[in-house]
Amino acid sequence: MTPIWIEGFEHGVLSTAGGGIVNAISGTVGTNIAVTADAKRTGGYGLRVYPAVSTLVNITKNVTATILVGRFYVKLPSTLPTADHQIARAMTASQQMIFGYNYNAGSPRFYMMVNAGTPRYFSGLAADTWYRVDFRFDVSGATSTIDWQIDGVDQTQATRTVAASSITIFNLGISIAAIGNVYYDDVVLSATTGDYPIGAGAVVGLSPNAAGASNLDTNIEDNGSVDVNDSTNPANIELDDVPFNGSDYIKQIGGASTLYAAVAFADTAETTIHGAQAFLAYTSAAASPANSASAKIYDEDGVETDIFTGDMSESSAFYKSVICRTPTGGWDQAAVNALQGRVGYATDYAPVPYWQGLMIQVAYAEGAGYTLAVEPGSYALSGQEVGILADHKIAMEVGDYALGGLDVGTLLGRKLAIEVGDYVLTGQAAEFLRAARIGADGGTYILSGLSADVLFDRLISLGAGAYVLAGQDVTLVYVPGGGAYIITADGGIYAVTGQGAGVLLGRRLAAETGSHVIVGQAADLLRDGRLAAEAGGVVLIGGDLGLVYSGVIPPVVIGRRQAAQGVPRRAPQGMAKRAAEAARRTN
Amino acid sequence: MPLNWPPATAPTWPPPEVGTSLECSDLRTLVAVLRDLGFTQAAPTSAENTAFFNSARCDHGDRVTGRMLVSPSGVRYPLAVCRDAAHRDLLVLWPPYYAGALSGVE
Repeated sequence: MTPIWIEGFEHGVLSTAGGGIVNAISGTVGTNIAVTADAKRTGGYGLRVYPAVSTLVNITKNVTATILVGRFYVKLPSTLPTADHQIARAMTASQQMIFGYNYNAGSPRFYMMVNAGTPRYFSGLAADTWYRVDFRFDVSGATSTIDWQIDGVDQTQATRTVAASSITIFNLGISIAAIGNVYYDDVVLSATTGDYPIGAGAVVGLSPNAAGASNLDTNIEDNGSVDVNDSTNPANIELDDVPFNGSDYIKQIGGASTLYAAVAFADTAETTIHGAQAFLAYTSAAASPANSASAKIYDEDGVETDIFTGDMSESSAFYKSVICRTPTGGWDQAAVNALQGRVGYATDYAPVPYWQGLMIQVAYAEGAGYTLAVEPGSYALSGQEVGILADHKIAMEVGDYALGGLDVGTLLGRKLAIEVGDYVLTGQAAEFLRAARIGADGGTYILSGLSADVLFDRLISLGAGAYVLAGQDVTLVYVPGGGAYIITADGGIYAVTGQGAGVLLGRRLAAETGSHVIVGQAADLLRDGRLAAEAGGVVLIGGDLGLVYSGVIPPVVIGRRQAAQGVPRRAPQGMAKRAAEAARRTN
Repeated sequence: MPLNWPPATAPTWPPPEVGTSLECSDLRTLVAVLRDLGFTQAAPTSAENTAFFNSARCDHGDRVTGRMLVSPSGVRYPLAVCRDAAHRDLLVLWPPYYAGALSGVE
């Protein structure tokens, strides 16, 4: 793939200064257009466009192409607008690709069209949902065409007969005067027709996080005028600000034009790489006269590419960016992780040039082995198709986690882990968690309404917190052939209620600390099972004859309904008598 | 900062056709964006050269060449391009009133 623009807005900046971020902004930054954390799909930032009154609000990126291929993600707000508006646009001098929103009398839809040609629609549009838009706008011939997809599904091609031309502008935003609220993230553009469709993916921002291999003397300093070195005062300390225009900087006050401070960037965990774009923020000690210095990217082939070389004499933050050269061996994880940034090379340091920030934005494909992670916050997966999470890891350190309505096999063979927070699985079909592992160190864990075999042959463990199994069918945790099924709770509350006969047949329930409650089970419920409580309470209420037949129960409280009233009359004798009666029936 | 720029008598920026705000990184983008809104380019009149450009200097102190962008309603907006070929700064009507080295290249 040969991207010409990679933008996940991970630098946290929206500016036209220097042209390195965007080339034009219509609208007031911070009032009706902004790069914000709440607009992100992935990473830390996304673009939010939110005019509250009818006005033109968008960003412009200059491009040069006769065929423009793109992929971006767009989300409309939770309350869909009642007015139509454009969402994205690519322009030649005389024609446009227009992608927009059509209210359609309460049945909202996306549309795609060439100028005033016939619009093509994607119906069934939902609020507060990210959609992936892939497009290929071809103006190279006598008929302009737009091939497009929504979430990977081909849509009807849009066409219009017009003269061949060249695309010079790409817009994201509400490109006509209208009211709206739209979020954008993970944008990639290419001028290569074969790159269509770019497909599912994202853009990650990698900031400097370590020293590189610098070429220094005492002329490259931090903003405190302390010499930079690669061991105790590396340049990444000043160049890692996000948002991108921090007050600290690296400067070159003199010396040879071969001097530079080098930084390494944070590693990526991604493996299918589309490309990378390097971003620079800079200023100088004064706005004049002209000076000259550089910022470069150094890649795994040992080749330097300019992010910017020239006059840096600006009195406010300016920005430059460049698509990183594709390494000889192509893009892969190692190639990204080998990238280094270099600042220096000054041939004229009057006024003294300041480098304020560096970042690499890397476009990658989402696919097998993708990790969904959320540290604080909520994470919801609902209605996914079978296999959607196959071989993936879902991890959450703090927050809520909800899985609802997933099909059979959805979580087959993967790990769900939660350290703190609530974890809810509801309505899953049989075999939902077959061979999966579920672990919760702290928090609440709830499984309700699961079908037979739902927990067949898997391990459920809970270090601290509450664990609830309710209403499961027979054989819920049945392990044929004498296999060992273990439900353990080291600390916390463990509740099993309303299971049918045989539910816990042949398995072990252990509670070392905490409460263990079993209510209303049918006959044979615990046949051949073991109930153990080393510390804490064990309560059996209303169990039928045979409930604990051949089982081992440390006697904390045992009885029929009287036990619930605190009258454990002749419990050991009663249990022995019932066991004897059961044995006679068996014989 | 540029000297004698922006002109005190220049029309208020942004044009009403644009909305609440418009800023661009360079002259080419500005022309393209405004062309989409029906603007055209024109050479400055003698009076406009006197009023807007003769005393203006870029942030490096260079003299400037005037450009006019004309709205669909006929309002004329001045822009200035630094005459130093190595600098070619574009002087604009929004803060910080210049767009940086080579931003005025056409």
